Amino acid sequence: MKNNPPFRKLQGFAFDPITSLDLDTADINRITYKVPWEDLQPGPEGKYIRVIDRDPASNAIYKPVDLNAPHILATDGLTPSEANPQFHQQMVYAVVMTTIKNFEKALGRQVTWSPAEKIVEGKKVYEYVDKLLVYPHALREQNAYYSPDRKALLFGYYNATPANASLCLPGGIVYGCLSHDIVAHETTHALLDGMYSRFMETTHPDVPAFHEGFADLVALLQHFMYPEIVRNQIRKVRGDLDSETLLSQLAVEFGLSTGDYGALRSGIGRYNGKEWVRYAPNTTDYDTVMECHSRGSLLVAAVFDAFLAIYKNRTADLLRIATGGTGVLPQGELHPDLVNRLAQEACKSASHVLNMCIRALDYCPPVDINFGDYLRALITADKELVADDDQNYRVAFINAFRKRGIFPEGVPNLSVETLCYQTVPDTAYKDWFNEHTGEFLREFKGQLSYVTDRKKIFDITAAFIRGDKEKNIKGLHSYLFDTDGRAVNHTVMENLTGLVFSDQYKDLGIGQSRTYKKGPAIEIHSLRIHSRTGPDGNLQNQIIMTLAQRCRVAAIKNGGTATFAPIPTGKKAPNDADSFTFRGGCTLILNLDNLSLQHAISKPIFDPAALTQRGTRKLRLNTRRLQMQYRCGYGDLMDDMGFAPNYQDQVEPLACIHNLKNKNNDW
Amino acid sequence: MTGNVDNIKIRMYNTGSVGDCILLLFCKDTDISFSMLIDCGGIKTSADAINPCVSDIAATCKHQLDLLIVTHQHEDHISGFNLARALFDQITVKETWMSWVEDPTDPIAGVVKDKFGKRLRQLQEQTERAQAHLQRYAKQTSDALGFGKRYAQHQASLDAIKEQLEFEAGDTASDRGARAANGTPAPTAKNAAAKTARAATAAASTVTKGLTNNDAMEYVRKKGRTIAYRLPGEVIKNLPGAEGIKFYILGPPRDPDLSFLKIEMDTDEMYQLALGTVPTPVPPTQRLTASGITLRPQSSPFDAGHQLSGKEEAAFWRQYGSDEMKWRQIELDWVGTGDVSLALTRFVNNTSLAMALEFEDSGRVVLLPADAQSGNWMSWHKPDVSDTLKTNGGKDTNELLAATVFYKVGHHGSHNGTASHSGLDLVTSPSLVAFMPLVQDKVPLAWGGAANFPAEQLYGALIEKTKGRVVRTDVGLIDDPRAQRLRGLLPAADINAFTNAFRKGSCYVEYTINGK
Repeated sequence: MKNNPPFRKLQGFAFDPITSLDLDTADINRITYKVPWEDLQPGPEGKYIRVIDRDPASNAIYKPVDLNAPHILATDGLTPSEANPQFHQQMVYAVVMTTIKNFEKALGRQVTWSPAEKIVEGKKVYEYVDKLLVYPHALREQNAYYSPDRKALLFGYYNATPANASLCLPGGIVYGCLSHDIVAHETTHALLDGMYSRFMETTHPDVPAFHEGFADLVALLQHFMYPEIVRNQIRKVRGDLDSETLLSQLAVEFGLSTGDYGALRSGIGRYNGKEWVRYAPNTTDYDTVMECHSRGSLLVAAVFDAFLAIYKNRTADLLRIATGGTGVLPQGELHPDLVNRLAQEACKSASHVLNMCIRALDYCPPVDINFGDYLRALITADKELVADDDQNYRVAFINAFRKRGIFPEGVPNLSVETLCYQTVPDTAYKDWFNEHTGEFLREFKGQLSYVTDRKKIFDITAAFIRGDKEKNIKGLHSYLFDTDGRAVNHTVMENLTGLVFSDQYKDLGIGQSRTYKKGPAIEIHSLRIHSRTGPDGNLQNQIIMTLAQRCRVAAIKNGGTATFAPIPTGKKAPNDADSFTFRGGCTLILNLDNLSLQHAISKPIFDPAALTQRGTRKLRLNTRRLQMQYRCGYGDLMDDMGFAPNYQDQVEPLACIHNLKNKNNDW
Repeated sequence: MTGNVDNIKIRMYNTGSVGDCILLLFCKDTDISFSMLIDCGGIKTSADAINPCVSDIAATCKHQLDLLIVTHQHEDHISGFNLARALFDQITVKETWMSWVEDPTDPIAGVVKDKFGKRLRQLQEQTERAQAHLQRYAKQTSDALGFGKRYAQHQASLDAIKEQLEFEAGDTASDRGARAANGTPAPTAKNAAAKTARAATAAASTVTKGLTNNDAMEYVRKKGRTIAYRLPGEVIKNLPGAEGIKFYILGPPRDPDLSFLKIEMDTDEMYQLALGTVPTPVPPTQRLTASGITLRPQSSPFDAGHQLSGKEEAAFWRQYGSDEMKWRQIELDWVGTGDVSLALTRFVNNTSLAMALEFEDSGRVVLLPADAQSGNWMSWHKPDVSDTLKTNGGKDTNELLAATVFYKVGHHGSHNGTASHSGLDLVTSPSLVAFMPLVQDKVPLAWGGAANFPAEQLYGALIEKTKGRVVRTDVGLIDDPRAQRLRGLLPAADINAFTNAFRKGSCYVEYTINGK
């Protein structure tokens, strides 16, 4: 076996080319990305991504860089240069891989891209996508996006049009693919889509905002991976990360080159035209800010605030030691040792926060996420892995969200205990999740144990979901339906998941299962193994299963609101009504060690509150969620959110919401 | 009738949509001595909506207009001449004014039209290339995944652009009919160019009753007994019946290099961003160096040495061009020139004939900028405009703005239709009244929809400047709480004067400006 080095070192910009033009930051902007070693083809093309440098607007193809060439290996990759497209390929590879690795580290498993939807012989099938394609010079506009259709990242380049020439060269060419933040942002979109493809649907103002905010968040926190940068910035602001630093800003060059006086977005503050001001959190923000980027910024600001609180908490003792107990820093430069220690703490806090944020994704509902759900996911995920929160991370998060008016629905008060998803009592699930089902899932885990090939993992998972006669695998669906084709334990399952299992599915416009002709269609989106070791050495041995269900609904306008009626399969919506797909979904977290169902995190398709317990169990559609989806797609929120209705039907959904600065000066 | 004009009644008509239709009645005592109409149109409006306005105009001016002005060639300013053609046929016009840009014999207009034509041609070629690219691509490819949807979207957007460009080129309806009948292809870039040289700049709009904007312009051109093409810097006085009134021509800027015409929104002049910006930018023409590389179509920003060629390129295409890869290609994403054609439309706004009227007796000024955008406003301060006004026996631009008592709000209240530093900031009269030709719920989506009109910052500034005396076509005197509060603070004499001068008619709002 070959003895490969652990890392491939690649030079690159820490932020973007413009940061090299500032004397204070010129030194630190060139960093060396340490990407886990993998065999690479020219492109670069590795296990996860393939960079294709086709530039259709110039009708050109740029020579692919071979990162294994001796002269490139010997110098830690090509020297940063805007004029060399091969360096662009190297930079984009380094940043995408860094982002992927951060996800894998936090999730404890290999990431996959969302499967490609294909129609084969009239049937919808989901095909495995091995590699994300990355096009560094795909567009000539101030834009970059992830294309969920093509599983590709497209980056643009354009002539700069700054507000004045001191900010950046007017007319100079700016490349999106050279900005760490833009690349990390788009990669995060792709990774998120790989986990939850339904987060592309606008069912709540928070859903697109979550996509945007989360992508910004990852880009921001990745700034703290490089101690030399953090040291430099901490020295500059004398340890006070609350003030303006490069670390808290996103896409500086993009902002300056498109007419802004500062970065495109920022975690903690921005220029109001004259000076830099710190954002002041406001409890009405959550109810009033609807445009998806601004709303996403609320999430970023909340998490960044939590991070700062954690950093301050962790460094309070250092400051006291350094100042003889007063905690008040003297004038002038800080001692280099203190800078060093502060930087260490900042890096450590950021890495913890980034891990928490990514880990929380496993605890999110598969559809219709809102910020409150995410806060609960954050707290639950962390509590489960880290029992003893001695640094009060969770309190820091709750506080930061509370200050922005982000309260999860249906919790009696705000505390770690109430925000944490409750453990499901075993009486509620034993009829379904028992030795029988448990054995099947243990078998699944056993088969995956020593598989590292992502395609094989995908295939095995698909076989266990759908069943595979050749391999003698029954398929998870057979644990939901009996031999008659009826759902088993339907009341239990309905109460657990918020999805419809009983015969009432016909009344609610839910389709019939293709295989089990007497039961409703239930989609199993994913089945993921989850084994992680916490800081206390505790091992988590879980399986995460996401289920979803959909129905067609007609909305009949009624003043400012609407009333909803399910459209039975095969029927058409009334002519004067808007019709759309409405989904429910549920994430089940199953513990394989003691065969317990830990959490059922659900977005019910029916209204659990309207269930009458007396005799008849008449299910009704979840009007509360429907109403919100209607407002986003057809009602009053449509314009506020900043994109066209039915944006999930748009060809490039993220392109149109990213294209926020498309002024044209090409005259 | 002898003596000077005593007052001017200004009627702003509601044409059923966003648009300008403004009748000015110059009165000596109570008799109308001179009547003048500026523009008549509305976005996607109907004959039913506009006929009552034109009937009222005809009745009021007794079927005779002394002066007809068409400020620029956009649907929202001229569609009335198509829709209410029968009524206009019964009105005689003594004299017509248009801007120098519309003058077929003006050499600089020729240059501007030529440049505009070139740009238009360039766009048409780009669109045609993109379309050819799209068709070639569609032929090669099967119904690979996701491609059909993408193709349809690109096709639709290209079609829309093409249509818009055809209108900008001044294609007439009869042309289209003939083409369809003979099955001949759309005009190639070459004959489109010839057409642009002749035809004026038209707007992106729908055809009204088969008549295009171009037809409306030709109709107006022949409507008056005489026609004059006005130049910035001109001061016209002693028109028969309008004694005591000076007509000032401020724009459009007469610059063959398009330096001012091109400025559609100068961030520094916009009310939207005015708060955030301090320094005055140097106009591109006055910069000492021109820097930066401009991206040219089909040319790469990198050295040719970086590109694949020959065998390597062929190998790339075998892989990237293969059927399995079709659904993941990015060949089409860069195609799309929609915003560029929008810029073209804004350019036409900048060719607006911008004017001011002054009462010689009192020095009061009425400001009528049509749809002038930033560049047009800025050009009024150029010495060859401002100083020329002075030499021609009038006030200079700063003095005119300072004395403005009535302002017809530019471009329906858009964020770049009223300049700040070179416009409204210089208006200091305490008795300013503003009329905004806006029907808010008819603002087309292409302009940003009702939410962007009137631009909030500008609206605030106008309310502040006029102390609440802002009148809109759709609502009349505005009932915005800020305006109500400020009106409440006015001295009783002022508010009485305003109330007496303001009137709301069946299809118009009217204000009488006292000239004495």
